[in-house]
Amino acid sequence: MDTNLFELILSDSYIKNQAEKRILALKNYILGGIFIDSKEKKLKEAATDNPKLDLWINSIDKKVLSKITPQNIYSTFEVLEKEIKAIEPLILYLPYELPDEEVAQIGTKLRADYGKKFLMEITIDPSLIAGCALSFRGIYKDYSVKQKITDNKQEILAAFRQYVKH
Amino acid sequence: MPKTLLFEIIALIASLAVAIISLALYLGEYYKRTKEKNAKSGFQTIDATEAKSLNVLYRAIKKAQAIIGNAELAGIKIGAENRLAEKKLEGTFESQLNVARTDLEKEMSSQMNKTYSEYIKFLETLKEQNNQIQAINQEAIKQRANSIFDKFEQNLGTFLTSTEQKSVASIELELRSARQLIETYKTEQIAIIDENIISILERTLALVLAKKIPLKDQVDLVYEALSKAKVEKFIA
Repeated sequence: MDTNLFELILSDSYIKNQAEKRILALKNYILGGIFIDSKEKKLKEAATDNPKLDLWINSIDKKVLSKITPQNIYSTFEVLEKEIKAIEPLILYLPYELPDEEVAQIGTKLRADYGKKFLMEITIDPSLIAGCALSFRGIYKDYSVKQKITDNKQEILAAFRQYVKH
Repeated sequence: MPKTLLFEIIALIASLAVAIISLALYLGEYYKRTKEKNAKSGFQTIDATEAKSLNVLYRAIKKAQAIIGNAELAGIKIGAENRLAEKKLEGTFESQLNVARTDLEKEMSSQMNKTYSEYIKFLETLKEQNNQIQAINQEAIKQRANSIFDKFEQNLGTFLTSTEQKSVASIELELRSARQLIETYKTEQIAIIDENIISILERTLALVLAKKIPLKDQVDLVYEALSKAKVEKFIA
């Protein structure tokens, strides 16, 4: 496996879905470079329909990409895809979408705690109100504000009743 | 009496007839012996003797006939006397019978009157007894009716008391179950209200916090959750 390419892909891909898309986009880009003729290539300004992906592909060191040849492209990407698939992600349930910077920060922190190959998935669940819930290897744990309300339900209701009495 | 006389007459006639017949037989036997004797001695004497004996026989027969005639006359006389006596007797008997009948009638009449009066007495006694028995029966029926009414009253009282108790018990049970139902409903409603309060709170917080909490605070909450998960070793 081309460790450089793998590390390159993982370096700023903190979400598993994102890493898979990037691998696929890169594969298509390289395949396009191999099989599409020069005229068509000129017409196509972007490698993909997604500007962010295009930006990412363009930011990759060409030296790394040059190692991929028509002979090894499929095997390389097969290995990459397998590797990515084998990683068990941490699923983050957030009540709202986070900007990429914050996602990157969280991803960096997680990799600092659990290793470079750590990936996550983000699912939006507005019912959580604030905070987040985590799911890892099939086990779900809720650290959200909603869960805190549920845990302290009796105190909240007691306070409410007190308030209503007075 | 007449019957005895008749028998005597018949006996007399019979005895006469027997005498005549025996005499005839004797004579016949005598004649026969004489004939035999004569046959031995000679036939001449036989005819004279025969004539003699026939004469004797004829005279005997005539006497016998006369006797029979006299006997018949006597018999007729006796018969007539008998009939007369019979008639007399019948008259006597009839008069005596009438007397007896009259006496009997009188006696019967008196006996019947006696019997009738006794029967009337008996009926009156029966009537009296009947009245007594009727009175006793009425009394007994009255007492029985009274006792039945008393028992009925008692049973009714017991039944009403037990019914009342059962009704009260069932009403109490109903009340208890109704109260329990109300309590359960109250508890359920309070639980529903509590749930509603919590859901309202959650919705309110969701609406308010989404606008009020800055991004930094929200990210801090995520970091806090991740720290807790690390402490709990949730992510291995």
